[in-house]
This record gives sequence, structure tokens and C-alpha cells, in this order.
Amino acid sequence: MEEEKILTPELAEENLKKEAAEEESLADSVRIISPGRLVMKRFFRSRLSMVGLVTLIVLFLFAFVGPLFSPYEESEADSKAPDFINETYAPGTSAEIVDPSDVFEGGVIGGTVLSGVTYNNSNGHGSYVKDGNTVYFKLDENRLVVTDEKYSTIYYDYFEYSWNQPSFNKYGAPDSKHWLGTDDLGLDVFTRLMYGGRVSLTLGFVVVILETLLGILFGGLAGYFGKWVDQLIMRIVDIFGCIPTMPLLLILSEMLNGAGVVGTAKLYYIMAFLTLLGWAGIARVVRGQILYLREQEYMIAAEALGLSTSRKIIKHLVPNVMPQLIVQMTLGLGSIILTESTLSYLNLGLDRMNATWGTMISAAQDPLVLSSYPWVWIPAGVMIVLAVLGFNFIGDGLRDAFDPKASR
Amino acid sequence: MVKYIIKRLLLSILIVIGVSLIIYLLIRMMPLNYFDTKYAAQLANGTMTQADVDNFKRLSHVLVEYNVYADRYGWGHYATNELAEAALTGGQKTICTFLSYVEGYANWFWEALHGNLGSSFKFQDTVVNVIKDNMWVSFGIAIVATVLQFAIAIPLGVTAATHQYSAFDYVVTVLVMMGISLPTFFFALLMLSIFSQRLGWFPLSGMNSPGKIFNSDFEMALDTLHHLVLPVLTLVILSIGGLMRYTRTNMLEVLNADYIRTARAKGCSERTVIYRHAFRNTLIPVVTMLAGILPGLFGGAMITEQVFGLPGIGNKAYQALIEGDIPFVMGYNVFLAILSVFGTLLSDLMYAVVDPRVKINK
Repeated sequence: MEEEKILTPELAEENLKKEAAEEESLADSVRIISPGRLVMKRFFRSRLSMVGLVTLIVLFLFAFVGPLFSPYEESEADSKAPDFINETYAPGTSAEIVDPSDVFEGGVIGGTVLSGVTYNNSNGHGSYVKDGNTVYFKLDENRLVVTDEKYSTIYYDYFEYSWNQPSFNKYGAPDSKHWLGTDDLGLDVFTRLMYGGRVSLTLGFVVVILETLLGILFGGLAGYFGKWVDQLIMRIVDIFGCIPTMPLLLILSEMLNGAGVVGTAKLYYIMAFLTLLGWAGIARVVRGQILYLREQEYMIAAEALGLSTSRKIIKHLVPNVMPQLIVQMTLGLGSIILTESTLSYLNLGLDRMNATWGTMISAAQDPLVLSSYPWVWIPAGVMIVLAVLGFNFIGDGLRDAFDPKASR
Repeated sequence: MVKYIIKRLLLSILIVIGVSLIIYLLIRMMPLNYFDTKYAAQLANGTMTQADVDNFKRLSHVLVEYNVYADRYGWGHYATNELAEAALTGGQKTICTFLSYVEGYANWFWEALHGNLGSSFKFQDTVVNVIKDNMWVSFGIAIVATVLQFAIAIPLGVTAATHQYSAFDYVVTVLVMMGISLPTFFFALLMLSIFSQRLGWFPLSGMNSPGKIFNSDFEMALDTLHHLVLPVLTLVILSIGGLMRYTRTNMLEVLNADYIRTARAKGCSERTVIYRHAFRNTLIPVVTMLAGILPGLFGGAMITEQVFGLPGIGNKAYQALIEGDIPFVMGYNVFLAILSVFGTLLSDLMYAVVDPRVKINK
């Protein structure tokens, strides 16, 4: 016997609920997405932007977290067991001292045959006992010479000179201990890559944020107030736009070198210079955009509401300039990394001890390194390309995502 | 039109004055002394003493014409030191005051107006001559690179746009993006390492093989070409990306225009639509861009020339900068500024020429 479906009140209620749910899901599918979410959705759908984003996240982790796991320091030379060097000098010659403090502090002068070395570091006088006789010697302009007992007349008698020469694992090929080998000072290339990333990536962000702030300020003033303010600011922008960036940066770096600025302080100056040379382009973009936005209806409405000037600029104009600016900033990050690395390559960036990718590549100016030790300079170049490429992919993806005309 | 050009020219002069003033002030603050850097090695290894160097400074200051010239722009502080100045001025030391900066700049500007940019310490010739003699090498390399760049980038850009989101589009986009992201010096070094050192196909540096005797000019030209393959290749690969993407964007914009739909609707073949209707309009911004970069080609590619050891103006300027050849650095930078101002002007005028819709009547 078949049970007939009777429309009981319960069932009717259930049906109604079902319909409502269906309606809701329909509303869901056509729900208006906010522009921000639309941009995000478009951005995350683009494959290249995702590649760029992942690359950069990996690079950031590599640069900022990586060094915590590295057994080496940024400027820690990898020393091997010191070489024991023993040389005998014939009469008439003298020995050149590599580093006087190295030699005498350990009392190793004379090597095995000698005993009772006394040496006075302040006047360079010393003596030792050889075959029962005392031999007097002194340091004469970094050369070791044998003298009489008053340290005055120089006898070019024979003498032995031996020392523990500190020796470093120079240009070590990549192995399990040093994944990317070592450079000319025996520094671990892999570790220096991480530290170099810190400089390049931070510098880029700081400069871009600073120059955007400056650009918004001046571009906003010029675009909003027009007239002579615009004329004045735009002429300054024109001038900055015509300054040859690279030669000027070289001059500024020379000035820093001359003024004796060293270490990280130099980094801050370089950031300031890059900012000063870079804000003009952003100011131009902001001004153009604001000139256009100023004529829109909603700005007339803002005017009619009697909003204050600063509120109009900050709340109504600047947010509308942001999409363009964000794209410009992302692409700018890449070019700043390139500029900084070029400066470092020309040895006008940070000092040798502070690793940057550019400085690491500059080692290849030596033809020997260029041909025989690719691990010293190629990884740094690859890092620069990856970072710049990452920023460019993201900037491109953002531009497409922000574009209201885009179909996909 | 004439009024517009005059207005723009006046503005350009203002810009050049602004740029040169900034550069002048910075260079005056540059702590390099040409004679100190030149004789630094001799001083270090003991073949010369500081007194000798000072003597050189004094001598060259008095005897050599170019230094006297240089001093008239207020460079004297750098070319010579206080000692030499004291010898000249009878014990009086010149002090760098704000006024001396203004006066120095005014002098420099007055002479520059008369076509005299001073004389280079390093190259022992007037700055104008050094620029004139060396800019053609740079221009020659750059123009070849630019022609190649346009010849490759435009077809790539057009094809990528007509096949938007195809595999070709993706591959080309990724490849040219890599080109944009490469640091010039790194790529140049990579080329040298692979093609010069490993494979030995191309020479390491310079324009001609040193010490080689050529039987004819043709042979020498071939040798030069052989030397220039890598630098030109570097310049082209690095600059293709920007232009290709520019072309692609413009082409896409044009392809979305209504008149293209009309052309398709009236039954034009795809070929006609793309090459007769779309492509010609894409060319407008491209030609404008070409006009804009053309003057800049005389300025030289500093990094590329430095890595490949080419005797172009960029390399000369780099050497001068490192060694503290103040008058040349100043002259070169102003030369660059003039080129860039001229480029902007040219590109704006070109826009009016190639696009009949644009009427300049401001």
C-alpha cells in the first residue's frame, strides 16, 4: 500500500523554508561584492601575481628568519687550521712582517730552534736566544732585521722567522658545510645572501613609503589648490624629473664616503637620497588624478556639505588615488632594489662587511672570480632578479585587478 | 603652435637652470680632489710625498690653462688645496662662503651660456670637446640597440595583444618581465662570463682588439662589430620588456575601441582590422615615445659601458666621477639634463605631428 503524500501543515512549512533558503542562496550568488573584495578576488585569481606573492614571502622568510638558523655570522670568516710557516732568511735580507701583533704576541719568533723570545711592542725591539747566543732584532718599517745589542747597527745576519698564519677557507666551492661556498674573505655566501636580502628588501619598502608620502603631499597640494601653488610645485617636480639619477647618486655616495659615514648610517642616507630623487614621479601621478577627481560630482557634493579642506583631501580625494598609487609603489619597489644594487655594485653603497646583493656581485669585477668562482656572485644576482620579478608580478596583477574595464 | 613652442622652450631653460644649480651645489660639496686621487697610489707606495703632490697642484694651477679656467667657476678649492691657493693669493686663504657658491655658479653659468663648460682635468681637453668626441660612440651603440629593440618589441607586443591570455602571451610576458627585472651589471657580467670566458665567442672588453693591425677599414669595422655584439645584446634584452608591454597595453586599448568593432562588422578581414585599423593607432604613443628617448641616446649607458669597457661617454663620465674630475662631471650632468628636457619637448611636439586630433593652441 502506497503511502500518499499529504500536504500536512508541517510539510508546507518545510517547503516554505526550503524556498526561502533557495532564495537566499540565489541572493548570495548575485550579491554585490564590494570593490575591495572584487579587487582581491581578481588579484588572487591571477596566476602570475600568486607566483610573485609566494616568491616574495619566501624571500622575506629567507632574509629575516633564515639567519637564525645559519651557523655562520654575516662577517664571520671561516678559518681553517692556521698554517705554520717557518722561513730562514739569508744574510743581507730581511723578513717582511705580515702583522706584527700576530707574530710577537704568541712568542713564535724563531720557530723551534729558538727559546726565550722577549719583545717590546712599543718600540719594536726584541731578542731571542739561539745556540746559546742572544740575537737582537728590531722591527724596521715592518721588516724584521737583526741588530747589535743596542738595537742601533743593523746586521743583516741570517735569522729564522716563523709564525702561525691565520688561514681562511677562501673561495671554497659549495659543499655540505657551505651550501653556496665561500667568498674571497672566507665568508659563507649562503648566509650573506640572507643578510643582503634584509638590506635590499627593507630599503625598498622604506623608500617607497617615504616617497609616496612626499608625493601625496606635494601632488595633492598642487592638484587641489591649482594656480601658483600648482605652478611652483610642478616646476620643482619638472626639475627633479630631469636630474640624472645615477650620476647624482654616485656624487652623493662619494660625498658620504668623504664625510666618513660608515656602516648602517650610510644606509639611512642612501634611503634619504633615493626618496628625494623619487618623489617627483609620484607627485605627478597624484596631481593628475586629483585634477580629474576635483571635477567629479561627489566633490561638488562634498563642497556643498561644507567639509573642511583637509577632510576633503584626506577622506575623499586621497583614497581614490590609492589604487593607482599602490600599483606605482609596487613597481617602484623593484626599481629601487635595482638602483640600490647598482650603487653597491659600483662599491658606492654599503661597506664590504654589511652584505648586500649588489656588493656580492661586485666581486665579479675581478676576472678570476668572474670565470672561476661563479658561486660567489651568481646567487646574489638570482636573488635580485627574483625579488624584482616578484614585485613586478604583484604590481602587474594589482593593476589588472584595479582596472574597472578589465573583463576577467 | 609657435607660441606653445616658445613657452615650452622658456620652461626648459628654467628646468636646466634648476638642475644645474642643484648639481653645482652638490659637486662643490664633493670631497674628492683630482690630484689626491690621481697620485694616491704613488703616495701609498712611497714614490711620491705629499709635498710633491702639493707641488703638482700648485704648478698645474699656475701653468696649465685648464686649471685657471676651472678656477673661474669656483672649482679652485678642489683642483688645488689651500696651499696652492695661498701661494697664488699671497698667503690669503680662500674661504668657501655662501657668497662664493653663488658667485661660482654665476660664473659657471655665464661661461656655459657662451658654450664653455670648462676643461676636464682627466682628459686634458675642454669638456665640450670630450663630450663631442665620445658621445657618438655611445649614440652609435644605443641607436643600433634601439632599432633592434623596436623591431623586436613591437611585433611581440602586437601579437601578445591579439592573442591575449594565450600561451604565447604568458610566455612572452614572463620572459620580458625577467628582462625588466635583471640588473644591468649582473646580466652584462653573466654574458661576459658565458660568451667571452667560457665559450670564447666574443672579446672581453673594448671596441677593438688591442695591438691588432687591420688591413682595411672594413676589417676594422668587422672587429668593432664583433666587440659590440654583447653590449648591444645586453641593452636590447634589458629594454625590450618595457616597450613590448607598452605596445601590448596600447594595442589592447585600441582593439577594444568601437571603430574596430565597426571594421569587423563591415566584414574586413582580421588582417586588415589589425594591421590597417588597430596597429596604426597603436603607433601613435610608440612614435611619441621614440621621439622622447632619442636625445637621451647621446647620454651613454654608464653601467653597460663600464662593464664592457667601451670608450663611450657614459664610461668616461664614470671614470671622471670616481677620480673627482669636477668640471667634466658638472658638464656631463648638465648635458644629460639638457638631453632629457629636449626629449620631453620633442615627444610632445611629435604627439601633435602624428596625431591629427591633437591641436596645440595653448
